[in-house]
Amino acid sequence: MSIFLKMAWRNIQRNLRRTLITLSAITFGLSAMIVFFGFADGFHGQWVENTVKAYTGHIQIYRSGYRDDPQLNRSIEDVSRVTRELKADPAVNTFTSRVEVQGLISTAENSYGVLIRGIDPEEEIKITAIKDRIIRGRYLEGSKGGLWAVRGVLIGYRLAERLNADIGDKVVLMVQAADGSLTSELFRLKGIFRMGAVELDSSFAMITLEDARRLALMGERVTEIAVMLNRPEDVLPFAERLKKRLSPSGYEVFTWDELMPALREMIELDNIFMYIILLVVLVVISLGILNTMLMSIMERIREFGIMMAMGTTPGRVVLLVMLESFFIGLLGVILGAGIGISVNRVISIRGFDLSRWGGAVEFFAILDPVIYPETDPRNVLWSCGIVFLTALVVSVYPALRAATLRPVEAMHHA
Amino acid sequence: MLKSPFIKMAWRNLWRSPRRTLITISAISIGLMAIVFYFGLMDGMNSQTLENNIRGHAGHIKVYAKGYKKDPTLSKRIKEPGDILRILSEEPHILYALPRINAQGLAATGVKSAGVMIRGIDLKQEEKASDFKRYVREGIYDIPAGKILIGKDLAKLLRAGIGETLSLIVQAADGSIGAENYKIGGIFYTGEAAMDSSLVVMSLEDLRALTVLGGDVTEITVILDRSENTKGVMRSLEGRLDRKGLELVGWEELLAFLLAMQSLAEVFKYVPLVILIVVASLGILNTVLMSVSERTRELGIMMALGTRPSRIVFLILLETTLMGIAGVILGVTGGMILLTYFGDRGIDFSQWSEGLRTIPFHPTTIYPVIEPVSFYLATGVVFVSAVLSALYPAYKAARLRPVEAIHFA
Repeated sequence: MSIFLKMAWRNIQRNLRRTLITLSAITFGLSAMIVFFGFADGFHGQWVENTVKAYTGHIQIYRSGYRDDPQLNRSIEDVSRVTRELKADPAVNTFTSRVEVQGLISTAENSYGVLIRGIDPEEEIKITAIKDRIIRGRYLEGSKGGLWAVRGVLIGYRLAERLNADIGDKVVLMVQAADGSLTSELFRLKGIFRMGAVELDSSFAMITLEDARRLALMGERVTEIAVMLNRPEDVLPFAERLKKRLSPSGYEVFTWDELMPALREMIELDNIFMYIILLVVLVVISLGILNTMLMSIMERIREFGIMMAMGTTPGRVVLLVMLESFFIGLLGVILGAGIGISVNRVISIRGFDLSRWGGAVEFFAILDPVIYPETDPRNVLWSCGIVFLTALVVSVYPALRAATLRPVEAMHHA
Repeated sequence: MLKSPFIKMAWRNLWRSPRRTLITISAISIGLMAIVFYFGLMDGMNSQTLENNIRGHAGHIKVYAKGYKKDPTLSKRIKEPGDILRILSEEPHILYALPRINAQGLAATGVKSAGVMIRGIDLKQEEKASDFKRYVREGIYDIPAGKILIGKDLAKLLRAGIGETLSLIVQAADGSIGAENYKIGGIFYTGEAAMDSSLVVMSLEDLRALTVLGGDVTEITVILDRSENTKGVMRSLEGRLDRKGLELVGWEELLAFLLAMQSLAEVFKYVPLVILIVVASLGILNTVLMSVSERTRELGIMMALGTRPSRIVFLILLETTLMGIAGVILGVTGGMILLTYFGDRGIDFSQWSEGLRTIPFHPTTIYPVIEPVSFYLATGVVFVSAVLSALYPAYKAARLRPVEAIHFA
């Protein structure tokens, strides 16, 4: 066995230039795929993280049936029942209660439909980056002012443009309250934010939780509780755990991808396209390897003839040829993975700025036009595995060709 | 330069090792076929999404009162659009000029409410001009006065079905709050998230009454025979409409967002192309290099007999060019067969329809069609890079020293 290893290793060095070219095809193809996947994974990861932070949190808890049929008088009444569970679980990083209700925001001349979100100003900033995204005016504070103070509202810069409203302007928020009546209240525009996502910037209004409860006549109720976990990987097991404990008491637990199926599906679709690309690249690489191996065998027909005449069994010949391919595949995988991972590392130090595509990035990824490639070990492992296997499989045909040579004829081959 | 003995020689050289040549040609053609099909898929996706957007809501050109684009309020409206509609209908290339009113409001049932966009349209005319009628999946499109069409997600959100009553509350043109009850006559499903969850459609007359607009409208949507004529029509109309206090916006501006997104997706188009080409070129480089080194003696003899080095370069490049041509012909044929097959049937992506809905009017069945630009780009780049990868081997061959080469084992 060991002599075959040695022979195979030496054989691939006999035509060093050829081996290096084959190696570089494998290396380039593999590292390019790893970088491509790294970008996509980084992009998707940031996309999910930012979207989750801005909209739902990792997990959201509703009163049973509310998600399906949102009626304010069927929202969460006993917040402490839920928060007790959340506080007890070590996987939880932070959580916050919210009121979300559809409504209309109006200035003297203009009005738009908006989603009004009542937030706890202190708790919310632990989840959403909203406070840092205020471009004019100020963030909400806990309501001090008392009954007479005019309440503050935050809106996105796109909505502010459309309403033609500026800091300090009066706006009216109108909603259908929990009892079915239409209620409205005067607010002052306190801050304008730019979250980077068109939807948030054009159709969200944020007020304090108390203001929202009063406006919608909700008493002590909230519509949902959003939870951020310490690690995104914990989402599924945690959701299962929480479901067991809360569903008997009439609560429903949703994970972010149940709440935003669109996000998950777009990522799936992107990945499918990438797998197809990977497949085509693999086919082209493997044809290159096939050609090289075949030629290296044709060059050595005499040599194989002599080996076989001296008693090398066909099985051993197959082994020898496949070992050569094994070495090339192994080297290619090591180099390709090494280079691919290093390139990802280097780029992710400073990130890759996509902002020259400006507007489009705003639609996709909330906040960040700068992509930090992420190396997903699973993607690296299986693309290396496939490339390596391809190198081996492709060598089967040349190996069989060599093994079926007839020694006498082969030795007389020119 | 094109002397027949060289072509003959190159051709015969290729078939001295048919298997090697065939493998190289198939690497080129499989790569090209995949690229052609893939580009067709991307192009089809982009052009169908654009077309759906133009037909579904944007139109090719929108006519607004000046200032409406920046600040879309009812106060900036097109007063008595009769004259303008006449001007538009006389303009060549314009198929339809559709007067519309857009207003923001709140829709409420007894217990639920949602912010909505209310659109008043000329139902008869829009039926011919836009795709909207085919999106109405429940109830009927031709609603009588007092009835409305609403999106599927809005219906779900409001828990309201056909025949049920909805109150619409808007801020009218005079600043007062107008409210009226309507019956739901139909439910549409466009596949575009924002429209399905927040659009209410009614007849122009009903919305005029609700918003106290008299005979006015907020926009006129113009649909042309061909998208390419947009610029020309806009140039021809600009002066005349400007005098009337109106402005024109073309679809490239209306859908700027979508176009920007598509340009971002180009990354998905060109990165794979580059990867494939590099990998394929390295394969070709290796093959040609080997075929040259096999023939060291032969090339030495040719040079000893007086063949100039430039002719040797020419011969080697010619061989690769022939392989490239064969690869391109096969690849293009294969790609076109795939495109024709799937172009007729379409590829069903409805499994990911939720994801596709985030892009406005993205079709769930995609019919791949390649744009000429993509086609020439793919074919050209594959062919040129195949030929270029033979440069180094050709150079090596030309640098051989005849005496040494003849004695090469």
